[in-house]
Amino acid sequence: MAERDPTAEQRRRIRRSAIVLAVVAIGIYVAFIASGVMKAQP
Amino acid sequence: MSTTLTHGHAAVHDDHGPAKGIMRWLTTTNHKDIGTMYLIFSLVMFLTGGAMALVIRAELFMPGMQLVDPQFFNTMTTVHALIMVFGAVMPATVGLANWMIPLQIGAPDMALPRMNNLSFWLLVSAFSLLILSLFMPGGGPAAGWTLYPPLVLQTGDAFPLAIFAIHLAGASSIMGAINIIVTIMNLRAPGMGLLKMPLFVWTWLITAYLLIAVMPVFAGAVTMLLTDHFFHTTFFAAAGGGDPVLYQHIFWFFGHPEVYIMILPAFGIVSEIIPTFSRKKLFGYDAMVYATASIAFLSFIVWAHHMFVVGMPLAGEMFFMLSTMLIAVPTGVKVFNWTATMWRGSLTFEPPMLFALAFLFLFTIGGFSGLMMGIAPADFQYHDTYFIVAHFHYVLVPGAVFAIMAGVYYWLPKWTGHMYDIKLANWHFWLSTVFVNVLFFPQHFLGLAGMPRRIPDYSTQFADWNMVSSIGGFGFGLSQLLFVYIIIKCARGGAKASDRVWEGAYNHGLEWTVPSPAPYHTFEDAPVVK
Repeated sequence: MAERDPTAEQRRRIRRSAIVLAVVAIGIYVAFIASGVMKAQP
Repeated sequence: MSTTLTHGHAAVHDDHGPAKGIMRWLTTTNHKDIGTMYLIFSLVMFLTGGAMALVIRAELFMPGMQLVDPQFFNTMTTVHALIMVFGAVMPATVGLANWMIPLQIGAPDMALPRMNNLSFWLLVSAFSLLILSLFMPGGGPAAGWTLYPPLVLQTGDAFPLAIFAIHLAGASSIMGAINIIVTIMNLRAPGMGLLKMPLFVWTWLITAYLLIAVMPVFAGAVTMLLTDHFFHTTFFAAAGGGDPVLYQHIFWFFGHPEVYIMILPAFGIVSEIIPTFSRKKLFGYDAMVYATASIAFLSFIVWAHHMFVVGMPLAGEMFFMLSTMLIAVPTGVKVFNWTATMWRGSLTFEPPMLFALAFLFLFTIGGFSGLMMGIAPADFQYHDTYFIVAHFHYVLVPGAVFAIMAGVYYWLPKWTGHMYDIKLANWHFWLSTVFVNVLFFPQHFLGLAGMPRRIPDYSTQFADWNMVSSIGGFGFGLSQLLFVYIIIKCARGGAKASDRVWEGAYNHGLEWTVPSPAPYHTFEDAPVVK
């Protein structure tokens, strides 16, 4: 990383946004498998 | 975007450059190194997938079975597509994003540099697995890149490898997308509001959101395939209460936005190049941003146009037909704006502009044939014929791939500090443009005449155009060796490139304000965009 590192506030926002986006991605993954489970009931 | 800039780049800190040897590439967190690795990786995959395409075209050169057995032919069509989509086009645009987004927004690096490194090496692992799967007992995956069940469940030992490879590639893409979003949202230079960002940055921001929305959908679909295969679930098996058509719905809910994941960054590249070589500002910047967002939104509500023949209610067919037609509106806005940018511009035709112009014409051909297939009753005729093969190759080769080549020719002097051989690049352009049309245009005729796709042998009535198409394929493939030579020659030396590189690049972005080659660390002092 270069010398102009992000400020503490920027780091906090970067970390928070990244976690939210990752949770959204995992949520979509789980939701689609759950939809498959519901659809595949005999 | 604002183009009046002041920036504090005078202090270039080159004193702590890259590590030496192989460790530089294994452990680097520098966005330029990682961008370079993505671009080299995608070039290797482009040549690998291209070699597979040549196996296909060699077999189809004349009717009858000549070179490979049908199972291997199916493996080639499947792995060619997976490699080209996930290994060549997507990583190339990610490579350009890694290189250019920090430079264009005035950031010192990506926001999450370690994750950036992990994303790249996960991708390498994914494609190593996929290529290794070719050598498993039973051969490689051969059910087509769509991996439709129940056919895909007959894959041999390659099946779990291919599924794992797709999961890894998906994880890599999602991490890359998260990185791009948080970089753009948090590390823009002071004064660079969202509506001052270069179009390439905008298109990538929207693409990154698309990736996060749809890659988990594909991962979910292939996870269900995996459990159907190994754990006796019946997600897609009618006998157990499942539904094979459900897979198609899930796949195409991912698959159509995936098309825009490949093409939106291409739109961004072309939107950078045309103003530079027209020596004008981009016409209708705001409209271009809104059109990109509209295309992304519409991409979520058109998926079933890939499945008109599966049997769906008339209302469903009408909805998906009309929503598909609707995409032509924002796409038309873009084509209009690119044309209007050139109108009364002071045009010059350096290689990036030539490729961008070819993109404009040939992508539009692909767009029109897409509209033809969006008409549900007509699609019943075209479905699963060579017409669709011609359509999506026009969108992806003289569309996405030409735009990527335009981007490489546009920014290569900034990366290497050398100007490449323009004469050879012009040769590369003309050979590619002629042969790409010889390769794909006859496939429209074959499709309209009823030749099915994904077959290694065909009726003699299709012989002539198949021969022409194969000649075009080999011509196009060989022309790309010239591209490789031009890049290697440029990386090794050549005439010194100026900082601005292109006369018309003045006022067209922060990347032209840094030296050529771009120093290992840039924007250590934040530039100010007015």
